[in-house]
Amino acid sequence: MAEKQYQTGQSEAGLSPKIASKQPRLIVLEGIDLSGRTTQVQLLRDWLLAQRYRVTTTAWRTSPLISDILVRARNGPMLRPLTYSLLYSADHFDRTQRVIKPALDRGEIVLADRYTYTAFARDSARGLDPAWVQNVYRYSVQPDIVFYLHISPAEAVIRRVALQQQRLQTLHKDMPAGKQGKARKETKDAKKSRKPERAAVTLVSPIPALAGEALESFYDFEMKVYAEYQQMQKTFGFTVIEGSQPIDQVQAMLRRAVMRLLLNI
Amino acid sequence: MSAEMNTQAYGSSFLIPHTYPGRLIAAEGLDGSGKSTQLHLLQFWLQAEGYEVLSTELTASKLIKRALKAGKKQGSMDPMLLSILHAADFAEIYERDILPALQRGAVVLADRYVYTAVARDLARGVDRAWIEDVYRFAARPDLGIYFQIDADQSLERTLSHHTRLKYYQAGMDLGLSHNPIDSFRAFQQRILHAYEHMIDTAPYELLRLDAMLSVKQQQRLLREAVEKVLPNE
Repeated sequence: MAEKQYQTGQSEAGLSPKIASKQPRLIVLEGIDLSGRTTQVQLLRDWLLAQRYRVTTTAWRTSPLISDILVRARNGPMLRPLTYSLLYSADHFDRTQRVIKPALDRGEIVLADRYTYTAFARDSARGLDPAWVQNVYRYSVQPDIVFYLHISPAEAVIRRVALQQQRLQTLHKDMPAGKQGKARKETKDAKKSRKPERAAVTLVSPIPALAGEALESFYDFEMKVYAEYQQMQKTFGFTVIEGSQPIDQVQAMLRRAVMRLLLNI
Repeated sequence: MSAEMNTQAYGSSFLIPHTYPGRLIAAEGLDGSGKSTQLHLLQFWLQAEGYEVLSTELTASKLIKRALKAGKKQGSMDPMLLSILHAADFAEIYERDILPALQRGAVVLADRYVYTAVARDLARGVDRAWIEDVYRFAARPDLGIYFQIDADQSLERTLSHHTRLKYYQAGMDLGLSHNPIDSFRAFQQRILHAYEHMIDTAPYELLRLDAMLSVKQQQRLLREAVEKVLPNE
């Protein structure tokens, strides 16, 4: 875990001229739920593409082989922490083999929306042994930089509630009364597996409404995950960016750091 | 659960002994080695003796079947990915069924346990240290029995039971041969090698049983071994 450089690409760079001019880069964005990661990854991607870099993005739980199992698992009876942990690692491993490594080998920049650290944080928060979890992920590619978008769990709850209200209002405004109940029942995961033509309906309802106890347990879990991230900050040398700043400001800081990385400054 | 995981304290051994009131008896060995028959007989006997018995199997659950099918369709499945999926499947059985049974004092009869899972992964070329660490959450059996037969005997007995060899059972994902029978034999040979290595490195974790003995003889030897590990009334 101490090795900072992307190893495979490094050793091949001298031999293969096609990637010698540009080092492959794996850039990771981490942070608790609602820290703005996904928004920032998209903005970063657009910016890098505009600079004529070749970019591949990869997000947690998107391996076609595994995401389906995870969706089913989440909608069915509760699975045990070990099972969850291993299924998420299967997702990560599959994306490593099919998305991340091939893209890096092609000399592209890979932007990862969540990486192994998400698993470390969540699995530890669920009571699993961190050393065991890290072993499971032993074969991951080492990122060149890990940005940690820091927000407090309290901020996450505020953002979550605001998001819920916003979605609810959009629902009431945009949809015929008969469809509202149905749309609200759909979970984030069920939505993802839908056919594209349903997107118009599901766009406005991706999060289940949390209140009372559910909101409390959301907060408790975010607290635990947050504590894990805080600890990992030092262990893994995260580059910390304050995520409660305006989107533009966060993005500007990210771009500066990424530019320094790409230009080897 | 996590507090009981301890990967350092036991040196070169693989699984770590448990302290639950129940007992765990694991039967390992190649396909067709007669494990299931012997476990059935053990189960009747133990139940007649008044023990609560839980029987488990190492078969792919619905959870991962879709992924396995998809991998088969693609004609390739990364061995490590296959390992992780199998481990996830086993973890669910372990935490849901095996662990609670051990905690309430039942006798668990595992028709294949971690050793077979790991032997199969090793036969597919997965890194030993990594996969052993992955399975380290599981308790060491109080009695682990290795039903010994060779690859040809395994093939012969398996073919007499099943009309067709299954894709992963025959190790077809490895591309050893287009012929399922040849593939099965080569795959079993590798698994056999992996079992032998385990017995060599941690002999106290797996006892060898000659699975060519008669059903009766095997059962007698088994009961003797099981009696030694049963909780004292």
